[in-house]
Amino acid sequence: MRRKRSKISASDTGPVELNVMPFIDVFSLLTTFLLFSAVFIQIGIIEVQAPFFSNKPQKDEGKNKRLISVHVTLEQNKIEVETFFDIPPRNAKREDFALDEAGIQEMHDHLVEIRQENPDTDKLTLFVDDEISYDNVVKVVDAIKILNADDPPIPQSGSSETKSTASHQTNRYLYPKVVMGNVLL
Amino acid sequence: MASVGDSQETLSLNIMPMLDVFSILILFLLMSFSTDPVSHDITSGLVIPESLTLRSLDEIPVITATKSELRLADQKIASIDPATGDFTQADRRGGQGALLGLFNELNELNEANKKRKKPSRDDEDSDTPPDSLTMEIDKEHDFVILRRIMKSAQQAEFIAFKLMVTKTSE
Repeated sequence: MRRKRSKISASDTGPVELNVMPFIDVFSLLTTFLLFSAVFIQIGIIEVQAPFFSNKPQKDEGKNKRLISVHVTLEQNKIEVETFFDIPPRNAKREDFALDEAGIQEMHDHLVEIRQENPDTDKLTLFVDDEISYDNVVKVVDAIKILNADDPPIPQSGSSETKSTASHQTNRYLYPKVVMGNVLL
Repeated sequence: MASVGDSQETLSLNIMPMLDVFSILILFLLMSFSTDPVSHDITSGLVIPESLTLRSLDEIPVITATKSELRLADQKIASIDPATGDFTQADRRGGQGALLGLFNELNELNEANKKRKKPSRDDEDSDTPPDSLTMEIDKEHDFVILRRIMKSAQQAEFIAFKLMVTKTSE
């Protein structure tokens, strides 16, 4: 061992050069593979439902609860938000908003207020006129479904235990269930 | 490495900047590497809307509505009239607001799905989600196109829909 070491140190006169060629080869191959398999546009989905008739019995826990119904109607240049309770007094209310970016944001803020006051209802029915563009429908569905980062948290429905454990981060949906109301009409 | 003429001067290529660029490129590509369960190329000539959605695509779209036609799993089902922005009269005939051709195809699909599924004892009480249809629709279309597709599907017992969108951040 001692002899070997002394040999190396004796021959170690010039500068040591690192051979980076294999390193570059690996980098090139990795870059080519990643460029080929890269997906630059991320595709997502929005889930919506069509209304349907069911003979399934209602769950006991929700039978005697006074729940609010939220209807959003998209008309030419107008969004109408209507709320009413299924058990009297109905307390029906209606608000109109413009069908543009500012109007959609105002509608979103209004829906956040409604959801905060009625956290048990997570379903919203959407009615859309035939002439409304699909792009605008998606924008409105986005505003209905997803909570913005600066929105106040939605109180959790259910027991106090669930309320305390559920955080704002886990609940990033405003109205997760959107039913396309006029599909059957 | 390479000697020029008779001079003893050696020219060496400085590859360090190239390595720097490579490293940054690899870092970027690794960060943006998609781990989505399904990768699908958007149909050419079709532009899907943008959305803030949190959900990623999890199945290949079954229904595609391009600017001029409706396809079910790459099979042409109906034509879209660009003048009216609706399906042609011939395709709408007999459908009562829905598309008869699409309903027939989806009904067959539903029957096949039912046969494939094993019947369970508590089938009616189970909370399993219903069969859903993933749809790729051009953002220029009016809602009438979506409504007719959904109505046809609803009559064939498909009540859940996944609308394909391009993910954007706030």
